[in-house]
Amino acid sequence: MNDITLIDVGKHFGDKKVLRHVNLTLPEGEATCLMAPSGAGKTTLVRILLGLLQPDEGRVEGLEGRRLAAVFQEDRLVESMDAVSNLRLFNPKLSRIAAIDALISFGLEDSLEQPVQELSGGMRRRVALLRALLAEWDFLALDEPFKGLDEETRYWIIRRTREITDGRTVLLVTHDPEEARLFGARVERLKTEE
Amino acid sequence: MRLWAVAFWLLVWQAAAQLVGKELLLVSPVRTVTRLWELAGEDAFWNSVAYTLVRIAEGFVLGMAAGVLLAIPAGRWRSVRDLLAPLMLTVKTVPVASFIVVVLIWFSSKQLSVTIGFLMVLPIVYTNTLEGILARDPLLAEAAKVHRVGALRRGVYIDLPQVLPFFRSGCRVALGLCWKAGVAAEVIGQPKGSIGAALQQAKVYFETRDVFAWTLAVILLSLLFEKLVLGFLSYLEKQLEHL
Repeated sequence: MNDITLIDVGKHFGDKKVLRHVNLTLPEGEATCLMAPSGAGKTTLVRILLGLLQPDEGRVEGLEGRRLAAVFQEDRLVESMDAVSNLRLFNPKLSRIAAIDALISFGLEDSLEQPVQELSGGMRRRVALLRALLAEWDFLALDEPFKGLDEETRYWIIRRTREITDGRTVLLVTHDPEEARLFGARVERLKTEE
Repeated sequence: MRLWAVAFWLLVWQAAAQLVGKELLLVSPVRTVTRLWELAGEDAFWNSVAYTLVRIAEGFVLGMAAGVLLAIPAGRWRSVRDLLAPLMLTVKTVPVASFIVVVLIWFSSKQLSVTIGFLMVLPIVYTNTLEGILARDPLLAEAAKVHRVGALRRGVYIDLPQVLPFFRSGCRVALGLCWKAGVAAEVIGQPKGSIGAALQQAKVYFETRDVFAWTLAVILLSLLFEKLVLGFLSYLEKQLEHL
């Protein structure tokens, strides 16, 4: 597959210009970390890459035929369902055993059968992250995926996520340089050019 | 409901009946239960129970189905919602007595409790289901879209669990109302062999014990029906927690 490329992408909401002349390449089979301060349009850019928004200017190339997966800033889980079912909902081919194994590997062995609404914020975040990792994808967008995890958990979850996504096309959006370093991703800064 | 609270009010009822001292005016709970027991030994009692139960259940199921089937397009298209709004408001606000009279003019009294039950349930289930559909989480729908979750899977495992609590609370309200209005309609229309006709007959002959016994029968049937319907919905909700 070709690299994913954003060429001169612009987006505005009413009078407010959120993205201006964004040029960015996400190389095939590599992890790219996009860093920018809050309000710089990172999430808008992710939404454009996921096909949820159309750019007002410019274009995106290299997404055709790709299966997408994402971790959004919000967990977006089915609250009444347990963790295993939340994972399997987004990937019908995922067996129950494989889902349980994955949850155990993310330290969720005590919460397999509980509705996710009863889990803590950090546990829910891990379920949301696993759900995307275990979906079938050719491009994965991670928008602040480690938000809400405590320091120790965050460290090994980042390493585990890195192992699972190794050699695949991933975009990690964060404002934390430490996360980018631990994830071992090529860092790009969201630049806007007049 | 707490058992001690039920016991308390039964004691109050018993004390009031003893204080009044006239069975024609107020029958005690003990005498009501014994009369119900006597009635339960007669075939005619069970025939009336079956007659009313079948019709009210029919009215409930039809009203529920119509409410859901109308709420789905109304949740999808604003124009359908606008079109149905005056109709639902009318059904909700027209007095039950007016409906009963109109139904008696248009149809036979046999159709009365089905039609009244239907009209009581329809706007409540419609409104609640619609509210549930409109309250669905758009972010979750968006996540499902990105991950290419199929329409059927999305409907069953993402939309349904979000709408069911609203539908369930609508059913809870509608169930009680359906029995109340359905039996009231039977009392007015007196379809032969119904609980309503039996109540009316008991009133005419000043059989206050029978009035109380039949009322108790209606309460018990209503509670049983409610338990069955809500039990089924709870079962459904539980099933949707696991995939």
